[in-house]
Amino acid sequence: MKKTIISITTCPGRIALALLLALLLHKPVLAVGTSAGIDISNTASVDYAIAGSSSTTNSNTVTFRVDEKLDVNVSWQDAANVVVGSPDTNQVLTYLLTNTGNGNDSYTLNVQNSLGGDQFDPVLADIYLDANGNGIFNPGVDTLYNAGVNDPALGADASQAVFVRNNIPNGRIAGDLGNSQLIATSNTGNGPPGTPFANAGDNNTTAVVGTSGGTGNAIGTYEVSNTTVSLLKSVVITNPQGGNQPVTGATMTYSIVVTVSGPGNASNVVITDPLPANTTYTTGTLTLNAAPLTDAVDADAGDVSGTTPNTVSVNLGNLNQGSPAQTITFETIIN
Amino acid sequence: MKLLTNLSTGLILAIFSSQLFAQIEVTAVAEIEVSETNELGEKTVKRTAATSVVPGTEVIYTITARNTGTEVADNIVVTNPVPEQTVYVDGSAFGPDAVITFSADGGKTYDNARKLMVTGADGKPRPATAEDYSHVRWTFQFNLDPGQQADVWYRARVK
Repeated sequence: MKKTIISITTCPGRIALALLLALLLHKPVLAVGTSAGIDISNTASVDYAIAGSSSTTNSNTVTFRVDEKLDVNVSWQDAANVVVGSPDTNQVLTYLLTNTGNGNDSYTLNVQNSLGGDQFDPVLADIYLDANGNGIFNPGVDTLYNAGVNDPALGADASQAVFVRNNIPNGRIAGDLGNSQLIATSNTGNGPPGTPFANAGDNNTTAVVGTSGGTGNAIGTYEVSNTTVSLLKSVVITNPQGGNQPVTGATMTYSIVVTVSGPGNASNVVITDPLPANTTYTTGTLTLNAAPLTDAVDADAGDVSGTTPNTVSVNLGNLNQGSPAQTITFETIIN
Repeated sequence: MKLLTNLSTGLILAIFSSQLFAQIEVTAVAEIEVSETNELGEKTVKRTAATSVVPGTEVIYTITARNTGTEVADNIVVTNPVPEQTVYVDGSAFGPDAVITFSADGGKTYDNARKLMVTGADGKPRPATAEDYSHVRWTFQFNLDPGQQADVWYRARVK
């Protein structure tokens, strides 16, 4: 099932559109491991009797230390192929990097785009690290990855969302697939499982490569589509004086019209529109195709500030070029 | 009167020394198995002392009870808590001619593996599994003569 989220950034006099694929953050693979550097001790005891007189004796205490196991997992998080145009730029694939070892580690990230099983090779633009932990690529918020400079450092069981942005070559046709692989490699050590690295682990323990080989990878896929989702956003201003000047107290009635053109289906189209700054949403004014929607996250298609704070979210489901235009309206008042 | 004093002093000394110098000495050893390939290409498994291990490793605990005294010891029971960062490996406890029981309540009660119960997450009793064992106990069915010793062992996997 393809899921398409349309995000709208509302700026005065301008509407910027971004097409993002929905994310479904899968449960990370959890390591079950005693922390590196822990000492495990054991003392046995013996009860016995000599000539009817009972005694107890304890053994020596045997102790060994838990070494650091180097394991890492990478998984592709997008729920389906990421729909792109041809050409297209900075298209985001989302991955989750998880330290499945039992100690602290950091990872070098690489992208391999020369892979089989597809019709084209995406071209790497850049890699970003999720800075606010929401698992969604946020331009201007998330951190550009710079190998060797800000390699993601993770404690045992910790995860980090990683965004790989590729450019899509020109001349591809609808249905063409392009694979892109994110590879994370432990900076502490990698190699055949069991390879030891003396004193490299936490608390100066030996770091030992685990079953992952100290490296993890996952492949994400782009799919070229010439289905286009178009949004037309407009606003009508009504002020208390009866005019249309955007003064304090004026009501802004926003209208977003969504249409689909071209062959193919746009599946699970979700419109998200952050509420404009310095305005206050008027409770109960969200509508879809003239039918009211509640503000809460519930059975109906939309909500305000429920799915995302200060944002209108409306799920339009599956659309194609034969679908009637979908009209979303809501009102805000200028503070 | 003087004789009596000497006698009682001797008696106190005798009791004191029997407590100070144990008749049974017990030693514990932790080992791991390491696979090695010899020059003929044959795989052999060698035991070495566990000094440091990664999670998931099975550690073999061997406990040796030895009668260092001059009298026969009887009613011998060896008890070993399973270290909390490890899990008892099901079916791994052995001890020649010893009855093996387990505790799943921190050593308060012991029973054999088939009968042991614990309180489940739903508050109802359920059969204990190897992960629940907190202690392993070997009750010897024999006496240890002076100079005689016996080994018992089990495996625990590091969590």
